Amino acid sequence: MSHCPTELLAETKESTEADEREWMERYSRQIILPGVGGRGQRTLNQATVALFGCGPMAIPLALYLAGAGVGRLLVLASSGSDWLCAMVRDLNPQVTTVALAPPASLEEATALLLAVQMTVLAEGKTSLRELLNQAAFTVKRPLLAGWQQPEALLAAGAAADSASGAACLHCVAQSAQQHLQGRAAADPLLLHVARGAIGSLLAMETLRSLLGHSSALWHNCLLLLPEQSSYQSLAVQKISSCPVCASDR
Amino acid sequence: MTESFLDITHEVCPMTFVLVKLRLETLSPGSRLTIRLNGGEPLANIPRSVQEEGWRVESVMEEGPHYTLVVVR
Ligand SMILES: [Zn+2]
Repeated sequence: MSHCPTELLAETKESTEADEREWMERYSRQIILPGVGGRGQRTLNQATVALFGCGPMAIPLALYLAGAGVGRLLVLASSGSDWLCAMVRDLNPQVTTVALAPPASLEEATALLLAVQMTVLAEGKTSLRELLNQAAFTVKRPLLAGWQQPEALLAAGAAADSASGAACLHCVAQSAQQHLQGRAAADPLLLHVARGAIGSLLAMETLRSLLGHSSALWHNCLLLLPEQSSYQSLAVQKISSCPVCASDR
Repeated sequence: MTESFLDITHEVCPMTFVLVKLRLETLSPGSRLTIRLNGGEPLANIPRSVQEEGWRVESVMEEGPHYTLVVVR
């Protein structure tokens, strides 16, 4: 596994008539959708997504992106990424997969974010989320993230073109923590299963974003409370003392 | 304005509409596409799908064993 995203830029090969026919047949059900079409499908085929994680949240995310035909998936995890890459290639051999080690510094994280169209964090340590948030804010790249707390599962995003005043993921996580304070921890089994729902949601928002639509998760937080079987949307306020985005007003 | 022709009589759903949609996407506004299609499912679905995408159906005519659909982008 390497840290270097430079070899990931697209190399295009001439496509034959047979390739074109195979492409049409594989993606026919998507091409006919009003929001996709041939152009949208090619946009997905040419997109590169960096996906962090290989657990119950990352698996449906990776499989939905592969099924939709996202051209390149960079799977970043400290272990298990080769296994997830193999599963993706099994589902759609046209997807290029690359297993990489997660970035260890802000420099590596920003280089990665600049090399891809979308970065999605499907769980991971808080320090990794903070690093990616800092990188996304620094180089103005989009970032989607899903993570787990003892009380709930959360999904949130920061857009590339965030207006000043928009909350970063650090602000989102702080707001969510305050919101959940005093609430009892959820049954671990329910939390475990619900991670798949968040992974599917992240896949949907990634595809929407790649196709040029706005995501409901930008500067917003969606909470999945398994004990209540309910979803909540949390309006997030930028924290005036946020170490990441406070300078941006 | 260009005129072009597409024969989808050897195709089945959903490839019939995939081919029509991909071709229409490449045409400039005002261009006309003449499509030869079979009766039954293609005749029932293609004109409706074309209109749902915002393209205009100019005419539908029976021609021997097939139908001819003219669409303006
Ligand atoms: Zn912030």
